[in-house]
Amino acid sequence: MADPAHSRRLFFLAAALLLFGAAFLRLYQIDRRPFHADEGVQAYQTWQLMRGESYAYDPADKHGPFLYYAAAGIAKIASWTPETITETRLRSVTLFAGLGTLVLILGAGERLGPGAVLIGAALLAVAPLAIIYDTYFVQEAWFCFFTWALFFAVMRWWNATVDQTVEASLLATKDSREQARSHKVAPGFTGAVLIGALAGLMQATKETSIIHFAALVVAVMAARWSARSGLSYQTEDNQSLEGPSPDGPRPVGRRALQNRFSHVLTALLTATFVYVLFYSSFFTHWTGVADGLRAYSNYFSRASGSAHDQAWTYYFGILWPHTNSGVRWGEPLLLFIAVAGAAFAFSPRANRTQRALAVFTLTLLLVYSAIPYKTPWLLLTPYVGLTLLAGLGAAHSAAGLPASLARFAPVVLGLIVLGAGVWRDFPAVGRYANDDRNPYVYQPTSSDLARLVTAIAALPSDRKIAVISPDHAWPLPWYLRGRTATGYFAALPANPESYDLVLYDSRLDSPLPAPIAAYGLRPNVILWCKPDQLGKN
Amino acid sequence: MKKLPLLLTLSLAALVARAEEALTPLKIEFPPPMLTGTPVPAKLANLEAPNVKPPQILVPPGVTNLAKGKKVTSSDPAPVIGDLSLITDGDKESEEGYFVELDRGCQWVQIDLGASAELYAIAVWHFHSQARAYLEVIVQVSDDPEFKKDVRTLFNNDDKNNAGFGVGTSPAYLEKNTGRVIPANKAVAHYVRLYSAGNTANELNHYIEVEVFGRPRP
Repeated sequence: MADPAHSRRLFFLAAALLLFGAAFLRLYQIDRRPFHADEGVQAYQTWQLMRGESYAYDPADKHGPFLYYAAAGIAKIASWTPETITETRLRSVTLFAGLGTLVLILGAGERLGPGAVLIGAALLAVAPLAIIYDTYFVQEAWFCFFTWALFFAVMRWWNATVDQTVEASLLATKDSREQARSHKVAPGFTGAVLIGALAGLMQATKETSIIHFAALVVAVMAARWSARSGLSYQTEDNQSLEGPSPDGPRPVGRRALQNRFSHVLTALLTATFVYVLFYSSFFTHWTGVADGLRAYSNYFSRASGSAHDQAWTYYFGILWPHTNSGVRWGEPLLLFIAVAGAAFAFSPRANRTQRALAVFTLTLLLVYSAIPYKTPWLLLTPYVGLTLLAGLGAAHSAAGLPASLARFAPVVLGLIVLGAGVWRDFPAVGRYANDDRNPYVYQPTSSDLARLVTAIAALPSDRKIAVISPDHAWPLPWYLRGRTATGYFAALPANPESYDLVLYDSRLDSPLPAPIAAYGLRPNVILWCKPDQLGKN
Repeated sequence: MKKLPLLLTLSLAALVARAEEALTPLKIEFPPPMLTGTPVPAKLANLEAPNVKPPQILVPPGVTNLAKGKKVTSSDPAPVIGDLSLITDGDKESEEGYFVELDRGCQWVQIDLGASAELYAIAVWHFHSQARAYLEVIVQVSDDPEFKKDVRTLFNNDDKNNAGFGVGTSPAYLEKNTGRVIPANKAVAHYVRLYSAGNTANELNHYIEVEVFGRPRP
């Protein structure tokens, strides 16, 4: 029999190594890509906020204020100024969230099993999708962190309070009421505040949090229903329950109901406070509170019929083996083992959190697949669920094997899937990190833009620049943020000859200068200019 | 007549006044950037390069594609996608299986024509299923397989001289299905070498086909 203290030490050592490895992988490639257009927009708003230009939430095509305030706050702590913030520094703000998600997972060993969380966290640590978007200055990494923090907080609260009654009655048929009483200590009020704060932070990060809230409700209800409907399961401390008590669930007492109601109310009030805090720009812009709700009409209209619409199989297609212009992609092994993990979650050996995890992940995948608007980073939160399910699948892969093999099965399987993930990293964050054949990136900014930025940096600061582009050639405005004599036009201005440098977007039907120099912006988008305009100093 | 100087003075004064009025500083608009959403994928139906007409090259009888099936070597001898023989196999499709992908940075491919020949034109297709321009495109010919002597440059758009062959004055151009035809001006050479250093979409180098039009030396 293994010494529990020794096992715990081994777990902490493995977890520390894993976190170190994850941080190394993310930091290694943190400046591998120039800013994506979306990163440029977020960074520009953060830069404006740091400069003291007031921030006001804009419901049109924007996300919540959390990222800007978080970045500005971290900048203040780290003594970064608007002049000294860089792409790497801003990306490190989301890196905190990515590493935080790993810590959350590793901390869930008690509920999901230490083997499952170690394997799941290792898979996430090397996952190309997570490596890329943990170092992407957009909202997704924080949104993912808050979502999984909420999931575990809700499961803890639910297990410890609401389902105590059911379990108590079930346990009564097997053991004694004493066991039921000592079963769990309800986190109560503190748990409710935490849940409310996390829900508020999710909403302050991305308005699409309602999708995650809905999926969480479905997951909790499904797990509860499966427990009540006779499907066998284990309690969180591994006591096997064989369906409902013959006497039926014990009626909930008035006091328990009052407790639950006060918890829900506390959570709602906390969430509302956090929401108002951020959307009102810390009580200075009250219109933002209503605008935060008004944004939904924009989101519902964007959900379909936009240029970002993709087939319902889009996310599955990212993970399924495929070739794109000669480059092989896919993570089939992860998918297969995640399916095995989901199957385990509905077996009698699974506990309620494991079951809720499967339902939550599946619901998120289904909902995001059903919404026509799709981008790869939206897969991040469900992907965390997939890695955890794969961890469950690998950790319980020994079932049915002879004892001599069973001991090694999880480790061997975990290492194989881990190896497959690392193998996928070479093209995804290496050679094709910035290539639109890479399924994990979307509309990547061309590395060639650095050539243009360097050339412009060599020009005197008073040079007048006109950027003519239908979408203002983001992320160029971020890179030229210090140049006040730069104008952005959606169409050719009346006096282009008045500017020292004119950059033409190749999507515009503008007369091009001759000779021309070409600088890549994105796939199929080039910025043209006269070469001598960049050469004269 | 006595009033003439006065009239001249008044006219001059009026002109000066107008000239001073015309010297008002020009106001230039600098609208700030609009904070946009995720960029919409650009799909360009027309891959023809704007403002560029392909050159018409006149050739005598007997001029053929001397590169077809000839041996190709490269600075990246083991490409990850495709192989070097695709460059002279006669297929100019842009899909998977028709192009070779070379590594990042400045890379070259070299075609051994088998013998010294009189060259009229070199046509190159890098990659034409996406609107992109290849960077630092340089085309050279020589009788020396090492390209150390007797090197003649036919095309060079490396305007910053990053490759070290001198500042190029040839234009950047958009890749298109008709390829880029470069006049060879009857240069006599045994080998053709083409350089590039990534493209406007990614850092890699691609070749679909290279055709070398010429005839054996009389």
